[in-house]
Amino acid sequence: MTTTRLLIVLRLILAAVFLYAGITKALDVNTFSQAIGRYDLMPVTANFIVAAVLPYLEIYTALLLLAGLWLRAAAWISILMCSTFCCALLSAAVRGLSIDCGCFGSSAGAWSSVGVALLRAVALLAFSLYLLLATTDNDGDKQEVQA
Amino acid sequence: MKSLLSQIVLIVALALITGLGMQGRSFLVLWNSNAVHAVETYAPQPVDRQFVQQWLNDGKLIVDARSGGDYQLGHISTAYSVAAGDLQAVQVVVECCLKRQQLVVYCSRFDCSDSFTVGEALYVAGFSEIYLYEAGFSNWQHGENQ
Repeated sequence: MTTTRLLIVLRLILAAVFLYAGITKALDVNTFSQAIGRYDLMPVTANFIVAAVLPYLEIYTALLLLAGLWLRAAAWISILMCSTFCCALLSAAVRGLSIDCGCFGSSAGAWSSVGVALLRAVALLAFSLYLLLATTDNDGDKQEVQA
Repeated sequence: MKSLLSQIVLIVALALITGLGMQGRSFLVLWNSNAVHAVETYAPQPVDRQFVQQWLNDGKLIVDARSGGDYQLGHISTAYSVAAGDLQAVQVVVECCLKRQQLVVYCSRFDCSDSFTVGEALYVAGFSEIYLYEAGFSNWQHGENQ
């Protein structure tokens, strides 16, 4: 598989995960706010602000990845989000919290345990890092022209 | 580099505006309650089962801070369900009962922190006296069985 094809596949995977996660969480901000609260890391106000804003950050990042626009900016945001997810999940794992990760609202079932979510976040972080390193500032524009 | 930074800032700003815009009402309730400053003075008073029993007999306000599922399985009669982080439930309790000013809040047992968290949310929402039934619902059930 050439680098270009690999990049497109990684972009699509990241975009699909972020889009699904963003939409499910945006539809039920209160449930997501409760899920963040279970990590016991921030005060209630901060939980709510994160719960209100993060889904849209995921959705916008997914749309940029799908459209092939501002790819490096989207990759950076993806890296920041995935790093934050990894830290929060790792902290929950270390403290032995048996909680639903809240990654996909309330619809993920077994996919939302802390261990599985941590593995997924690490994989997404790796994809995002590869995307950032393999993408130049002009890639998005080039792909647009080719399309 | 400058362009990259401005793109990142623009995306984050757009997400902030959309997110807070969509949840404006709930956010304003929380913000107007002066949450950030009020939390500093939050010091709930621990109470025991006997106090809660008397509280219940007097018909005063009791809040269950456990999850909705646990509440459905059993709760202290007349208790309102306000799970941690559920701002809509906080709003319901504020709208119905803020004039009472005092409440008892509990969760499962000593090692759960949801009663403290929910008590804090209700304190910043305007309730002035928060009593914490730290032994929680397991202690309440134990007492009832005896």
